[in-house]
Amino acid sequence: MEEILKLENIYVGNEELKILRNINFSVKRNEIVSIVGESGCGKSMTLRTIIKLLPKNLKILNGDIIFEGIRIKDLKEKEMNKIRGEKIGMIFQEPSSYLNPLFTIGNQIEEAVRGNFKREKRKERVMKILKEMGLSANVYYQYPHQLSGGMQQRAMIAMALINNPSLLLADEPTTALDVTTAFGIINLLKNLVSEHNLSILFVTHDISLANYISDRIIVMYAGIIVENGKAKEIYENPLHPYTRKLIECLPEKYKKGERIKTIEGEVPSFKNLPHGCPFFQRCDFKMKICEERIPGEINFENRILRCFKYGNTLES
Amino acid sequence: MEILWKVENLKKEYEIRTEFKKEKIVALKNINIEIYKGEVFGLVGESGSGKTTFGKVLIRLIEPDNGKIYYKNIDITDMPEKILRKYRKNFQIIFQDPYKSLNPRIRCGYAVMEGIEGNKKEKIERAIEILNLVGIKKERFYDYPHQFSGGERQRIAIARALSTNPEFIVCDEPTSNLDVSIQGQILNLFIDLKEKFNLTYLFITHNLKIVRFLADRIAVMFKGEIVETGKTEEIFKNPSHPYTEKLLKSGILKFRH
Amino acid sequence: MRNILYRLKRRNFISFVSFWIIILLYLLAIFADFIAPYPFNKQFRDYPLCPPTKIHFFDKDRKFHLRPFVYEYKLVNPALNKYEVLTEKICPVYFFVKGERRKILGLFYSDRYLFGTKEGKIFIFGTDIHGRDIFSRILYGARISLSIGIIGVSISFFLGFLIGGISGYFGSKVDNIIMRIVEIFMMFPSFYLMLSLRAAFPINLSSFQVYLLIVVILSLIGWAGLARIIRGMVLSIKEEEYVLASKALGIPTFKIIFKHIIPNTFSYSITAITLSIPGYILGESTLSLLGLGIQEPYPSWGNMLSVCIGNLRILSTAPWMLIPGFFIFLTIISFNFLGDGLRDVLDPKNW
Repeated sequence: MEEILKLENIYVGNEELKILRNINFSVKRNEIVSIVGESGCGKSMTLRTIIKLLPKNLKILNGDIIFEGIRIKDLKEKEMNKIRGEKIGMIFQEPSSYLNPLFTIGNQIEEAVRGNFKREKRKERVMKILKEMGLSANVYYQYPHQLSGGMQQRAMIAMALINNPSLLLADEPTTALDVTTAFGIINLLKNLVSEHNLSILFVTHDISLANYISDRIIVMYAGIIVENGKAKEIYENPLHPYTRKLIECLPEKYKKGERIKTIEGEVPSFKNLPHGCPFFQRCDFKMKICEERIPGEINFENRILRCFKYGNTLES
Repeated sequence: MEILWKVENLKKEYEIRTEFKKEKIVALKNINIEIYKGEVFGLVGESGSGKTTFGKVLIRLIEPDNGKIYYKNIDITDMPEKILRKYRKNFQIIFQDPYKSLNPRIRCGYAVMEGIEGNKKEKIERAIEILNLVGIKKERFYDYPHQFSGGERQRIAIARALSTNPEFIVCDEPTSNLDVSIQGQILNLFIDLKEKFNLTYLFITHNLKIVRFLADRIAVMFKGEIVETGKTEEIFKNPSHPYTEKLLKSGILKFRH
Repeated sequence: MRNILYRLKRRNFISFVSFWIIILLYLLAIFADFIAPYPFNKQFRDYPLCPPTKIHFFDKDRKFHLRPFVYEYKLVNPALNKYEVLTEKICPVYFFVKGERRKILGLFYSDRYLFGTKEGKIFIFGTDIHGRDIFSRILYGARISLSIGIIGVSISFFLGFLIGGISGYFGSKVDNIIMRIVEIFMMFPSFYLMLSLRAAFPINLSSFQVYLLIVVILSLIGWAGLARIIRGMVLSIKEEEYVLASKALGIPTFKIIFKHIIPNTFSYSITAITLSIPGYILGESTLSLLGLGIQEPYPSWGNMLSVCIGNLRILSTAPWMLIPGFFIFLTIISFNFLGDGLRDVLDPKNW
């Protein structure tokens, strides 16, 4: 199947900090890929790198991003703007922060429509997509504060998809929502993939959620990808020690009275990254080499891993 | 089983004033609950269900509008604050947001010392002891909250709750703002402390996986009312209310059905 | 305190500089007795509207003198205010010079001053229409203007705190009543309120009485704004979780107020106070400018400017009369920058 997005050896940071290191992965058409990790692992930063909205003090130091065949890393802002909103859409965690409280929903979604269309045509398109999102036509005339969190999120998705992009970047879109509302949004997203010929890159800290929605899961830790493979396989048979611990931490795996197996310690901050494998301190399987070198990518049982336990490739 | 808390017909309303009209929001409609000593009572619901309000009203941090609250058969509903204060040390609370539940200007050791009685030396010793129990080393006694991580701050909040030797703690979504790996640590801590000090918990959460793991009995809340109460496993296996069913389905529970 | 200064220097250098400018101004005011070469009311009849004395290091023969010196000025044309500089006589500037006996800080007598001349006059900012040294008057005037700011703000702060705190903490009826009263106070345009209050008292009061009166008037106007700010803060802090946690621990109310609520208002209130001091300084200056404040012969930056109003002759021939205005400007802008920087530095989010 066709690859629509590919990241090659991406390094993001500045002279003092390296936030992302050697990020390599691809997303195929109509595929849902989740990036899973805890806070501070760099998953949100990866999305922002793809859409090139990094904070001022960080840049892409190395590597390339190929979107639908075009290398976009060095694309000028003007060209990138054509891609943003049109070919790549993005939705965020707190819909209320990203919707302007002063304008109606209809107004805001219309603003996102690209191309020269007559007023009526635009309105028609917006109404159509509102319906698709499960929102009533009334929403067109309403203001963000009049909508519930779930409805606001649906409005944001409408905005992101109105130009029929081929890739949707979703940064924890359901974390701030109630369980039942989130469930609705997740199912909506799943349906949109087939109806809109869409691929989704979905960022979350919840690996069970990632398993439910995605075809593939990418696990990140302290700025590097540690495991990349089919969602179900990773969930039921995690290989990387960190992924294993993540699965082991899930309370649903335990009976009452048992203790949850946890990971001691905390995620290292980007200012104090250790020399070798970033997970070294907290790993149950650590070996001497783990402290000194960062493991390179290995192909193991249909998965991409970075762990010396499974092979001895070094970082190139 | 000794009944620790008995709540009858509890009501709480809020008035929200917008520019044009006054709106009445009913946070608690008609709550009837019993909590037994030694159990973990889970209160499950989504935002707007009233579960957090219930936690605060139960221990009278917010005043109820109607109804009765009995603590160990004593009616504390209208008890004057001066007398109630003597009972307060028996029931404590831990909040959801570890970044807001500690006064940013007060050192962590002092925050824990606040509820302890005795002379200064005794207070400090006891505070160090409790902090140790929750995993905070004594070298950090004089640090400020912003020098700790989210998980550590939550531990300090737990230490503060333990400082008065309570027998009951309201845990208001204590792990919702924490990472998964830290969450596990804190949940383990809750279980250890419960066994060590024979605590009773009211565990408020929207996370079904946690409540299934921790709670003996649960109550499901929806828009200010309790729609279902019962033993955890029974409710998970045989929900009787449609809202509970909807909730369970959305919980994306995978293991052990 | 040191911590705050350090952070200020790093984050907002201008406000760090402003802090030291303010300190300098207050030191000048406190030590005016020592620094001012002449008494504030000494009239030099031969030198009305004398331009600022230039300080030289090189004489007319291009010879370098280590000790700075001035020349004598002679009034040659009173009508056009023209002075001639007598370059023959060199009048050195001495430090710690002996001069007239004066009381320092109202405590003891001394006749040593920071600098001065034995012959000739040194008018750094020139003289006014009566021949009084403007520099000296500015230093004494600083005492009035700067002290009124501090004292007025302290009283307002105390009142605002007390009333705002009570209003915020107890809420409902008490809060309602108090806030309506506060709003009545805030409703009056402060400038006119100030004038009316002043006018309610006899015009010819002794300067000390006028001083007290101004302080009281300004405080009565200013406390309302502060009370509102404090009340708002108390209202919101009251609902914070760490306050609820303390209540749950059984801590009595007043302890909660003093330990948790009040300290958390400091970051905002210190900034609000620093930013409101300029208002007091301006208030006094305005009253004095209009002749309702500090009276002659006592100098205040405001009344020193009053002669300039509408007086084109003075403005065109003796622009140095406007220097008190510059000092008012400098003080106000320094307090503003300082307040701005403090607001930045004291916010816990920025720690």
